[in-house]
Amino acid sequence: MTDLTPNLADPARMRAGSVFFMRLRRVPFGVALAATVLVFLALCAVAPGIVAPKDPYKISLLHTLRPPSLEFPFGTDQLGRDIFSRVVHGASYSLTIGLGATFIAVTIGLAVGLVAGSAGGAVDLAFMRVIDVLLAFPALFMSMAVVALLGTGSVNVLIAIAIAEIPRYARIVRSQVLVVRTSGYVEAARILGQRRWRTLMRHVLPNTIGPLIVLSTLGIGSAILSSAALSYLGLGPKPPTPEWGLMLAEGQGYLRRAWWIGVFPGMFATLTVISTTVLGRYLKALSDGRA
Amino acid sequence: MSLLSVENLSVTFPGTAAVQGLSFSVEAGQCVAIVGESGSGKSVTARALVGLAGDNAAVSAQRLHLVGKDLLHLSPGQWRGIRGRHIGFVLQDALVSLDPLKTIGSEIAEALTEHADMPCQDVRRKVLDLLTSVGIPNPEERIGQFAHQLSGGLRQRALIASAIAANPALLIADEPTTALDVIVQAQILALLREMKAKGTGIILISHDLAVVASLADHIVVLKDGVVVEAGPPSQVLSRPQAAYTRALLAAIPSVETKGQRLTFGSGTPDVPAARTPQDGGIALEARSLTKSLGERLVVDKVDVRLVAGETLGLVGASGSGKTTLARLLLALQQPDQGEVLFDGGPWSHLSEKQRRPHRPRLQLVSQDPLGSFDPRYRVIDILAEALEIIGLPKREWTRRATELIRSVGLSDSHLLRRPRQLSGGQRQRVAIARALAMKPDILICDEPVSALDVSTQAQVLDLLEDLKRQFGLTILFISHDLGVVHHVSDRVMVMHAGRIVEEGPVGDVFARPRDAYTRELLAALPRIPFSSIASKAKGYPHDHILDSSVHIGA
Repeated sequence: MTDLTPNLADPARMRAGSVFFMRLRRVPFGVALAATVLVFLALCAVAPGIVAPKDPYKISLLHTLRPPSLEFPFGTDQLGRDIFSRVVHGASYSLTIGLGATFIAVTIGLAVGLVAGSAGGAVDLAFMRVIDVLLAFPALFMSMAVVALLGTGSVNVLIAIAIAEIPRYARIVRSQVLVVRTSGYVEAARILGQRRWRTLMRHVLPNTIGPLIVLSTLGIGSAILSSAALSYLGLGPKPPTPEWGLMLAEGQGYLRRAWWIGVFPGMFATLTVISTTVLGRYLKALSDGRA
Repeated sequence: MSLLSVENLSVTFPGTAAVQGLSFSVEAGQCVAIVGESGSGKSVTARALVGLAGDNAAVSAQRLHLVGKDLLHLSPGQWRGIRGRHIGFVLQDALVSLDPLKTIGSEIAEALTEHADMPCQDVRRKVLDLLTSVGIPNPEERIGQFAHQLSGGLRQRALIASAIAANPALLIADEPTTALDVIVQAQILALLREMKAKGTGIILISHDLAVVASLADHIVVLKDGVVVEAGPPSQVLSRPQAAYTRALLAAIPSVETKGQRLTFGSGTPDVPAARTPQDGGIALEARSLTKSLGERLVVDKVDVRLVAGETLGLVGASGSGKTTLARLLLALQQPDQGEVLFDGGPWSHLSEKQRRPHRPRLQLVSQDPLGSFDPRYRVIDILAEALEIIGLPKREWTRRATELIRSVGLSDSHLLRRPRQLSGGQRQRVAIARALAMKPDILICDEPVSALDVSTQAQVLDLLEDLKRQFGLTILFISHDLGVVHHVSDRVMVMHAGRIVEEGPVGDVFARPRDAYTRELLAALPRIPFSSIASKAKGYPHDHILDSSVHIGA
């Protein structure tokens, strides 16, 4: 540990870099696989045309209900649309809703938790009772209620899911703020004579965000699942949008004759949720110092 | 046949040899002490002896026998049969070592049912016997309590009780008293002495020669994993051969070391005082401070008068209210009654906003420096934050931070480290540097050296003394260690159960204690029976003794 290089710039940076690569080499196979799946899905979302050149909306009554083949890897549906193209194009809906809803929920949850945790007293009490009331309803039920108020459609589903997820994050942030607020370094800042809001920005906020980012990766999976569930119930985007939950609902009637219509979108939704969860759990373990 | 015989034990981790060529043996009813500073390999040795050296450790020896049974090539399953049954293991931190979800009764019962094959109906009675034998009062009540409900001393006893539950022939105690105050320490040592008399072999691991002096039959001094000296206490303590042993002895602050340096050729040499305090004025005053936490009266009508330029020692057992008093003086908590005056003006009665501009003048050095640093910060960020608060322009930060880090005996390269990458002594130096950055008048030091080993402690005490002289600081020095308080203080206050029971010039209080509690504290102080020799070690030329540049990195 006695690296006494007098140069002020190099040693720390080099150490940080090599530690990063050392960690990378030790990534477990499952985590690497999950990351690969997510990279592939991101590619599908950003440039679906490259992965699946066929038009996901093109109806072809000559090719209805074809089983998976070389021409149609995932088969075709009752209108002759290529399931593979539809699944690939659907990735953007799911990922947008998953990331967007989580981002909104984390941002608002962070603000609420930070205010409640650092203000304490009556403010904390008021915020937390509202959060408790929201937490009392199942998240899916909350989302459905919000969609019922706002109307159906992708954007509204995104907002609905975000609102349902806020209480969870607000709770976590608040408890983390309470821990950080009583920590030795916040007290040290007070002894030094640092102003309160400065301590909040300098120490409380950054030390709260770390664990939150990790938890939010876990939240992305559940947000995707919620969006599929809402679409399945007919509360999300309207047909013929290639949304996974919607496709699942459409395929339901054909499950005996053409299982591929419902199974492939369902499989992709499941794969996405598992991958984000695996990655999120790994990040959490990493930040807890267990990996 | 020896109880335990170790020949040429080596423990290596990838890249480093933690212990090399260690040989000793333990007989029944004998105590072997392994002494050295942090990083000397003593804990690694203890863990290797119970098969817990770790997956990446390579343990080898010519001989490692427990009552004739070879311990070298045991499987993890076989080790489980040895640990607890034949070798009891007591760790330093009882709060961490005891399961927070278990009552101490079930913790001890677990050791019994695991190893002693005892019928269930007898277990409770045996647990009560054990609690009684380790000197826990009201065992009937304590048996159902959790670790957090017990004091540090009781926790340590409970841990010892679980270690000796299966009546092992050998007990390994790794720093069993380091976290405890003198009175409790004396009780734990007495308990170990009693067990030794009953025939248990003991391996006692400590950084403090004074602690082992009264118990050990054989002392092994380790440095960097190598034995530098070994022998009976009469020889090691009175005629130490190795320079390192002499330095360890000399580093122990005691009555004899008053006014002397504890380390040689270290720290800042005689620097002229840069600032002279206005001697005689009252820098900080507390008038009949009273504070209750919950039901408990923690600080009871305490008066403090801290005279500018002096070092006032505050000594007392853990739980006596010292830290709460410090927090009241720092205005981190509000007193229930009474008030604190700073420089003759109001302090505790101010609002936080009014107090903030004056906060830099009153700084704290705490027992846990690591906890007082933002975990994301490097040393330079920690210092820069302080410099920003006193309004130093940004372009000056690096220069001033370099100045500060050097003034506490660290080098520029430490600025880019994170506190976690530093040793305990280095962290405390950084905490002191941060306090100094504020150019304080008063430094409140709350157990600043309690978590450090003897030689690091000596360096930090010398540093504080130098800085006090250099910057004209007024210091309130809080500690449970009487030797330390005696060494640094001009005046001393003794605190017991929330009250100041005795106060006066340090020489008077130590030589002629008037209060019964002070006398008890002094009696419990571990002493080296050959203490005149210890102070004579000061006479050795400094060239081959503790060189601080080596130990800063330790």
